Amino acid sequence: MLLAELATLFRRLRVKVLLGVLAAIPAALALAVYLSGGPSSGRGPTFLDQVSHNGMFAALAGLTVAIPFFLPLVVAVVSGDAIAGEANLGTLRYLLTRPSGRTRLLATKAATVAVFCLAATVAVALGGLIAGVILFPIGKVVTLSGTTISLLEGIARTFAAAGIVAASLLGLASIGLFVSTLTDAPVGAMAATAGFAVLSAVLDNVPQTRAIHPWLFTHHWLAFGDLLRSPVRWTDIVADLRLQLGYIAVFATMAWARFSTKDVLA
Amino acid sequence: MTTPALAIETSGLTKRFGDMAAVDGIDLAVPVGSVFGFLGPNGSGKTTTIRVLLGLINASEGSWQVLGRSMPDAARDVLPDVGALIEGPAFYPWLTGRQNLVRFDAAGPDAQRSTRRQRIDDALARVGLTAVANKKVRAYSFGMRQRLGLAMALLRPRQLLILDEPTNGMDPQGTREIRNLTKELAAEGATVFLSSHLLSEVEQICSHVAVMSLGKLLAQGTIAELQAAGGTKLRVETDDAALAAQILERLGLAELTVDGTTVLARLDGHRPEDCNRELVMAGVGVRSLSAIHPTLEDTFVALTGEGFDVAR
Amino acid sequence: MPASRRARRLRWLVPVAVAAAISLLAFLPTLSSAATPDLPRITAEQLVAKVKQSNVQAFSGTFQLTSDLGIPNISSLQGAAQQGTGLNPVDFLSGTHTATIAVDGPDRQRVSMPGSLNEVDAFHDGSNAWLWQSDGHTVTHYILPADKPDANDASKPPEAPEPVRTPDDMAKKLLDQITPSTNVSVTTPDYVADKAVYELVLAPHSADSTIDHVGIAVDAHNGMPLEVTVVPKGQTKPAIDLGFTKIDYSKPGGSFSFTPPPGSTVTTKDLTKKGDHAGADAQKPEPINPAAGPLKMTHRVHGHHGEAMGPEMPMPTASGPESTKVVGDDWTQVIIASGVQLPVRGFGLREASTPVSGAWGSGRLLHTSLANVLFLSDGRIAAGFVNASALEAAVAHG
Repeated sequence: MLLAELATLFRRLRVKVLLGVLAAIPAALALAVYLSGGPSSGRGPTFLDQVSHNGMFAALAGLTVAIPFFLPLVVAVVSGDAIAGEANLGTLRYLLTRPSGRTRLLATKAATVAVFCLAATVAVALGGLIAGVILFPIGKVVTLSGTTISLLEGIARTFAAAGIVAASLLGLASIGLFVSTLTDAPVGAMAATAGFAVLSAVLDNVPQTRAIHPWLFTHHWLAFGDLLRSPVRWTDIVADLRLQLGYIAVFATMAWARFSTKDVLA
Repeated sequence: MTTPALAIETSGLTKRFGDMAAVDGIDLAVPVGSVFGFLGPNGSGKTTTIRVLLGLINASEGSWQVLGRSMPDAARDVLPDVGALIEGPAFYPWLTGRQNLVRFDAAGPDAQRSTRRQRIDDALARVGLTAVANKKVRAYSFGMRQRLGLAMALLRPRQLLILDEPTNGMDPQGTREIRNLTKELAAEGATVFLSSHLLSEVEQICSHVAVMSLGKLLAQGTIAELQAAGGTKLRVETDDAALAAQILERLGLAELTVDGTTVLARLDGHRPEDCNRELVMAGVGVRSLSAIHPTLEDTFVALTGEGFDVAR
Repeated sequence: MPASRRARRLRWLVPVAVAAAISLLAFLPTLSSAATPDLPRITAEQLVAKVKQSNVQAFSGTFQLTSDLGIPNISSLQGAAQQGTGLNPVDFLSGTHTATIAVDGPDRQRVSMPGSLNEVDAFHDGSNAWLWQSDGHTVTHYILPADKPDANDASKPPEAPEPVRTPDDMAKKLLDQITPSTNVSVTTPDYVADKAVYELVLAPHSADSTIDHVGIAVDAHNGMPLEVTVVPKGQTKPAIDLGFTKIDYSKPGGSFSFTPPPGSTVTTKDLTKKGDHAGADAQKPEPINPAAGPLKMTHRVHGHHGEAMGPEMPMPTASGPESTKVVGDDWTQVIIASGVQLPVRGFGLREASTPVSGAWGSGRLLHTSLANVLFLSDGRIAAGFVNASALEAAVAHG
């Protein structure tokens, strides 16, 4: 069922376009650096100043640029659509009378959204890596701590970072899944989910709400960079994963409580 | 498991939305092997009933059984044997017809991959969609989607088919095909529960009928039973209508109407030959006397009232 | 599948229970840390002596600086032009900052300050010291005099790579300041970084001081100060909290030297030559050289009677003062500097300060819960851990 679900998702034009745009972000960054001859050191987003020295950094620069806005938006679109989209198409009633089982369907949807999160961040990393390799020299990778690691390890850490970013988005994805069970209008669910992401990011930047900062699901979204230190700093990454796990536990069970009992009228 | 006598059985089934009872304590009994017409004007609660039967919405009160198993607890075991078309077909427009069927087949707990291809081919052939199976559903006409919906209901051998307005939006040719298909399925031993607001359709293919109005089940039974319940009428052509009416009234016949030389009255169990004898003995010149059996339409109108107004 | 209505309602208990379990897990450590260690009572004098005798040569750990001065997050007010510089002293005025440190004797230290997608590392290995900033990939290499004086000597070279003061350093300096103006006591033992600690409390007598008390948590075992908190008057939460969150007294491993990575910009500063040193200090080619900022700051504060516990004032980016003088004693000291040009706008100080005027003149007052800074319109700056009226009085008399 998961395979069929994934096939249904990834065959969709909208999803293909979103992934393509995600892959294009770091490619566009790399191209801009290439055409302008490279930004002056210390300017622009982190990692971008390294792109002209080592094309591999385009992938990391892409993740850095995509995580505050575009990645959450894309995740909101897909997670908000998960149940509400089926309800909107009317396919939900046929899935349920098949019967796919409500809990089972929800679990499949959750897994699909998680796979999509990973696909989204890997698309960014891959797009950056390919563009970087084409446009710039690649070589040993300088970490944030000033040490040097091999290119292979650098690439491995970059994809690990993509994995961490994907995991960081799961909290938002589970909120989206829950919101998606509340309505039959997918656009509403998407907008509400994106709204949550914006709200969390704004609160995280307001010093007056400092007390709740560690509880905001966007708080550790840049923790993936800690993989590029030496030694790797795990504190924030672990805090991030724990936090996401907490959001998943609460919102996935809320989604279950809602979806397993709701009247399907669409 | 012994074969139950009833494919669908509800008792006191009620669904309220807020204060309004969309389905108000209905007791349906759909015999196994019947082609059961579920009649009622738009908004009478037919679709809500079907959604409750299939476990899509929760009943407010009452209990129901499908294929002899208590629902909704047994949904996982029962629903694979039930094919359904609910309130029109619904598909993923960006997938082809075949991909849609694969997706729905895979979503079940009993997804048999080995036979899937064959089953899909058979179902597509049965509804006449083989030629367009690899076209995106986006490009399908409504009628084609309706057929694809039927194909989905036929992906597995089913004991019960619940078809909600299956001929909706179809051309006369398609309507006839659906009718034949339904008959075929019934002949193969499936129970068909067919909701419709079209009398003619039900009259042509159904063995049993139930009539819904305003959430209540007004009548159910075989078509013959229902017609009988509607009340046979006595029609008398005479030269003295006034006298004839007088005599019939004395005999206890109700709903007397006089129109020129014609007198109409409900028989209500009186034998027409007795009426005739009384009329002749009283000196009424009877030109003709007949018992008139009502059409299903007469029964339907008698039960639900005239007019096209949506009940609510 | 839909069950009875009662059972359906009960399903909502599952997320509620999950949320409750999570909050319990999150807050349980806080609750359990309320336990106090079982330590014999000691006097303040004994505790001070313990600190003075403390001779921890090697340790490694993580420490954290939390500042809550009751002013808006200044760094967030700054323009985008300032973003990305790894070591902005103004950043330390608010929020929480974490650093890891490893010390192996007076000659081998390393400090690492991870920021958001950046990092600043300082290494000290004998006669070499390096400062690495990931933003811009810059390395500053210091060559230190071979006959390096004692680490605690105030006369050590100003550019010593000690960009963040460690709790023990800070506490020792504070203890030197204990005078009759201070009420010294010891409170209930507690735990800091999982170590049992005594807490020394220094409370100023003066009513003009903005400081209610300064707490110094001292490892009960070896006398090493592990946390310094500064609590302003009228508050229960510290405005500044600098303490270890993790400490390990074993000899740290790893290298204390640094190899500049390829592609980085390396600046070498040879401090063995006296002339060069003076030149390095005088030359101001980098108005916002974050590397130089806090270092010089540390030095300057040293010069002024070791009032080291304040947050870094935004002075490092200003041009040097023509003259400074100190008014008042101990806790109520006010530093008045004249001829200072501050990039007020750039730091968002205009937004954070309020205009004030009096018999002494006029200016803008930057009020925080701890320190008050008066920017006079005649170019003078007065600062101190005293309330505004005491500060204005000091300006009027000075």
